[in-house]
Amino acid sequence: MSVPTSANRPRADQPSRANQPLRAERPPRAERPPMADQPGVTVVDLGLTVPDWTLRLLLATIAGAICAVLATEGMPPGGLIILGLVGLAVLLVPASPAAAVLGGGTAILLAGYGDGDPVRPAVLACVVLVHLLHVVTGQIAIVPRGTRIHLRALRRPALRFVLIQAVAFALVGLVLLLPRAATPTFIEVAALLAITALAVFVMFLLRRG
Amino acid sequence: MSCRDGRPLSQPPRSQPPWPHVTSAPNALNDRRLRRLREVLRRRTGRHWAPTDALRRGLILGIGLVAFGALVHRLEAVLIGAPVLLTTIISLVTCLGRGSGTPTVRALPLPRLIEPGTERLMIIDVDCDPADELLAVRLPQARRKGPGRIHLLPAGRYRIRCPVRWSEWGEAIVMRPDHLVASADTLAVYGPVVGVATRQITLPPFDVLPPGPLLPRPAGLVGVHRSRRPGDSTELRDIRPFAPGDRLRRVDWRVSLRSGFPDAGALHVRERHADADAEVILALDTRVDVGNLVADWSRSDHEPGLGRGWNRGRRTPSRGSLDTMIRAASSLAACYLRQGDRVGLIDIGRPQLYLAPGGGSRQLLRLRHRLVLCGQAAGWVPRPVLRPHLVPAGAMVVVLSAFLDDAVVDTAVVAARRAGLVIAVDVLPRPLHPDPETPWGEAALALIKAEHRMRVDALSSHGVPVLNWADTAVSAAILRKLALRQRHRVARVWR
Repeated sequence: MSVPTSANRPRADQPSRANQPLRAERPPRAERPPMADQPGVTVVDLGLTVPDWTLRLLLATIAGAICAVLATEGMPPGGLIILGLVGLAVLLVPASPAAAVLGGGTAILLAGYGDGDPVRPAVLACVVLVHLLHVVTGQIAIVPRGTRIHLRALRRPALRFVLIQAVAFALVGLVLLLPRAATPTFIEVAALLAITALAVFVMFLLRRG
Repeated sequence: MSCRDGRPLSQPPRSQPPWPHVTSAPNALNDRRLRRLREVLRRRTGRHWAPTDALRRGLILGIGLVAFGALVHRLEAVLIGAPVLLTTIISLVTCLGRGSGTPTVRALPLPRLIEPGTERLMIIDVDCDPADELLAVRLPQARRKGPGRIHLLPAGRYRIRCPVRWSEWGEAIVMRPDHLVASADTLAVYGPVVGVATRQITLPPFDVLPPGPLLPRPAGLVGVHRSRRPGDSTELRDIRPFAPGDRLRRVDWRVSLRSGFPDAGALHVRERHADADAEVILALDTRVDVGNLVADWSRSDHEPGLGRGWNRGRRTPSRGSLDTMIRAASSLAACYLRQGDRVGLIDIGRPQLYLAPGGGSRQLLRLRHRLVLCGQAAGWVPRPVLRPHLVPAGAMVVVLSAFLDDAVVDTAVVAARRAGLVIAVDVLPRPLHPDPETPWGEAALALIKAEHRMRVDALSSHGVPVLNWADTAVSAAILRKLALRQRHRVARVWR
């Protein structure tokens, strides 16, 4: 046991503990390492992200591509300017009817300015572009500016998009295989009735949900 | 064993109506009202599923284009509308087929107090239905203050780990998991829900300083400082003749015998110094928080206590005077507490934030926490208050201020006359820059500097040494010099 003397006693001018750190404070209970991961719960570390403007850039590209496709179809410049303004509105206010106007207007103009062949490259391009416009607009509408988008979040929408497009192009192939003769009236009436039934079914689902 | 109501301990308590005097009919009415109120509140807080524009667009565009194509016999419209209609129907069925549970995003609690510079993992539990597709959640950022930015993640059941590092002291919201869950194709969304905010207090950091000048306080016979009074330490104070009341173990037999004790001389005793601790009162002037841009001194958009001063984001990003003051007070407190002294705190702008002197590492924690409170409550009051009864007798007072008004100088001088040692710590940022937008900027700055110099001279002329807290190393050197000067002064008094 060492006896404190004037030699080893700490003094104000020569403190022996001056350079020692203070006693480490005991960490609070919640500060300890996080609780053991529960079985069945995946632990996710934030990985690769892209800024939200990449989605907006994609949307702008889609709107521009739609205008370009329509320009190749011989659309007058006035119509293209109007569609460009609608595309700008989609970009600025994604959660608005502008996207529906752009998609519907594209389809109607293609139908109106068509040269008779329903399965031409412009139509096939618009099958992809309008669907992509619908999906991307929906995603942009739920993310505020400054959002970081994780690429794995887009995996499921991308898979569904590819699947739906495969079905759509199968439908295009079916159209190519079918004879181009005039459709019997009863088939047209049946198709309209089916669409009406589909609309009623959707309304029923929505009311129930 | 049984409870008071006669049931055994193993049984759960009997359910009783909370208001037994109310009949069942009003109960049912109240329940209905309560349910309706909850429903309204739920709808207002966003905790419900709501259709989006994507659902309307998908249905109108899909059904409309297909119907239009069928009516006008144009297949283009049908081909373009079919994928939109198909994806909407599939997503709608998926959305309606989800379970009845509501998505939850919950952050695990964190400790209330944290040290600056520490890095922690924040855990956020996400529990969504497998049918849900996207989750937009606000997550904290690694090196930025605030609740963070939104991240778009896949929905599901998992746990998110975010490493977060805190560098600035003060109280702030470090996490608020605002979230929004979207179904497939974003046809419906749950939210946005404002998450529960997690507030944390980051304690001010402290630097290692050399021991500063101190006034030993003879009241307590513990500590590391040599007192002027006799006591029980090992340092020799004097050798004097024996007097009634002296202990026999203090007799210096060698000196006594040399003086011829048993025959003619007197019995002599060795007198030793007493050990004493010291009390330090840190007096903070939190009434002013200024940066080094004089043009910004009249702005009102600064954030007190966040350690940035007034000149955030401007051309010379320096710390404000309040931030420097808090850091200096924290370092001084750590320095003196490490020596075993007792340190207290007075905010001369808000005396109610007084912290009585104490010692030990817990006192350092208390003091740093109180410093954060002082930083939050900082604001202008016309007259500083340093009540005499809050300063113990013999305590050293350290006045930390930018010394931009005369009232704080008067307070320091009065404290110097009343108490023993008073040290002034000047935390005015340097160099000061004039306002470039006015031709009077240089003149105004010269006036401010002259007034400040006059106040510092006034303090020095009243025996209050002024320490400019520009840099920790410089401050340490000046503290060491002040300590030496004070020891010499004490030695002169003894002589």
